[in-house]
Amino acid sequence: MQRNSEYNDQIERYLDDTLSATEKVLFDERLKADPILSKMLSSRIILQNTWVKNGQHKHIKAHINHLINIEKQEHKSRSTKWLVAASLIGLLGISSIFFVQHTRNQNDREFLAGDKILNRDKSEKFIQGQQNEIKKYGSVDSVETNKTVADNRYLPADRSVYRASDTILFTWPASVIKERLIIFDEKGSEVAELPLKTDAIEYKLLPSTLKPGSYTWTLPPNALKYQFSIRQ
Amino acid sequence: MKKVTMGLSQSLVFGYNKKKYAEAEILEGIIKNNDSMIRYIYRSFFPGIKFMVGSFHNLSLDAEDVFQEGLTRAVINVREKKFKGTSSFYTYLTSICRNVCLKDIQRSAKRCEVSDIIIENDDSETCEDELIDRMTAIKNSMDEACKQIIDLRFGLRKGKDILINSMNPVENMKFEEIAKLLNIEPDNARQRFRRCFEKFKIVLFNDHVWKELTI
Repeated sequence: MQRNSEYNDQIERYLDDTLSATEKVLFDERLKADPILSKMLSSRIILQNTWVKNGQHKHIKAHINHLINIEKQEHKSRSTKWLVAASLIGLLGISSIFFVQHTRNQNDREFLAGDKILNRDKSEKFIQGQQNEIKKYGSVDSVETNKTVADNRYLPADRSVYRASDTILFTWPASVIKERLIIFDEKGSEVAELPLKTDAIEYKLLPSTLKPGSYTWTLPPNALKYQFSIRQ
Repeated sequence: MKKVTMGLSQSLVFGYNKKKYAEAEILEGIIKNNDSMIRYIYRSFFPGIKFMVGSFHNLSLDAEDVFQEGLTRAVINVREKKFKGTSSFYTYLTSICRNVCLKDIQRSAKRCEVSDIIIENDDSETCEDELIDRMTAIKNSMDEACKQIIDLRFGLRKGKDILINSMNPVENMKFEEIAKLLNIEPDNARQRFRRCFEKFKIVLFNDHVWKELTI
C-alpha cells in the first residue's frame, strides 16, 4: 500500500516532468523491472485518456444538442413562416374563388334577370322617351299659350316654319265661326280635315303627323288661308 | 471555436439553406467544428436515422437521443481520423446509430436475462465507447469537487476543446497551476487529486461492467 502510494507520487511527478535527472533514471529502470509500476503508469494514462475522452464526448454532445435545439427552433420558425405564407396564399385563393363565384353568380343573376331588366328598360325608355320628347318639344317648339295669343291673331301665322319634331298649335280668335280645320298641301290637295267643337280655340297637331313640306290651313267657312312649312 | 463562413451562393429562402454538401465538405466542416455543418447534418440525415430507429422495438432511447449519441461518436471519430472514408458519412452515421440502438436493446435484454442480441461488427463501434459510457455513469456518482480537480489535472478546462489521439497524448496541468486556479497550496492540490483519483479508481475497478469491458 505504502509502495503504491509512493509509486503514485512518482508517476505524477514523472508525468509532470519534475523528477530530477537521477530520479528519472531510477524511475525508468524501475519501470522496466517492476511490472506493478509499469501497470500503474499504463493504467494512469489509460484512465486519463478515457476520462478526457469522456469529458470531450460530453462537451461535443452538449454542443451538438445545443445546435440541434437551435435548428429545431429555426425549423419551427421557418415552418411557422411557411404556414403563415401558405395560409395567406390559401386565404387569398379561397377569397378569389369566392370572389369569382360571387361575380359569376351576380352575372348569372343579371343574365337571368336580363329579360326583365331589358323589358323594364324598354318600358322605362319608352316612358322616358315620351317624357323626353315632351320636354324636348316643350323646349324646342314654338308653342304659345292661349293667354299670349291675341284674339285677332291666327297661328300658325302665315309663312311660319316648323320642324318635323315640333307640335303645331293651331289657334284662332274665339269669335271665329268654325266647324273644322282643313290642311292642304302645296299642290292644294286636302291633307287633313279635322272637326272642331264650336267653342274650341286651338288644336294641337302632334309631331311628325305631317310630312316635311309646304301647307296651308284654313277654318271654313272663313276664307282666310295661312301658309306654313315643315322642315326636316 | 473556428467557424467556416457560408458563401452568398447558399442563399436563404425563408431562412432555409437548401445547399447540399459534398462528402469532403461535410468531413471538413466536422473537422473545423463548423456549427452550420452540424445543423446541416441534422437537417439532412435525422429523418433517415429516425426512420431506422423506428424499426427497433423495445428501445429505451428515442430517435433524438440515438442521433445525438451517434453524431457525437461520429464527430469524434472523424476528428480523430478513425473514419476511413470507405463509406459515405451518412452510412457511417447510420451504422453508429444502429449500434447505439443494438447496445441499448442488449442492455435491456441483459436486465431481462436474455442475451441473443448480436452487435454489428464494423469500424464504427469500439470498446472505447463502452468504457466512455461506463465512465460517465461512475463520474456522475462522484462529488463535484473531486470531478473538478481530476478534470483540471487531466487538462479538461472549461472552454478548452481537447482532441486526443495516439499521436497527441493528453497534457497534464501542473499542480502549481491548479493551486493558483483553486486558490490553494500546490501540496493541497496534489493531495486532493491523489485522494479523489484513488477513490475514483476504487469505484471503477470494483465496477462489474468495467471489469467485463477491460478483461
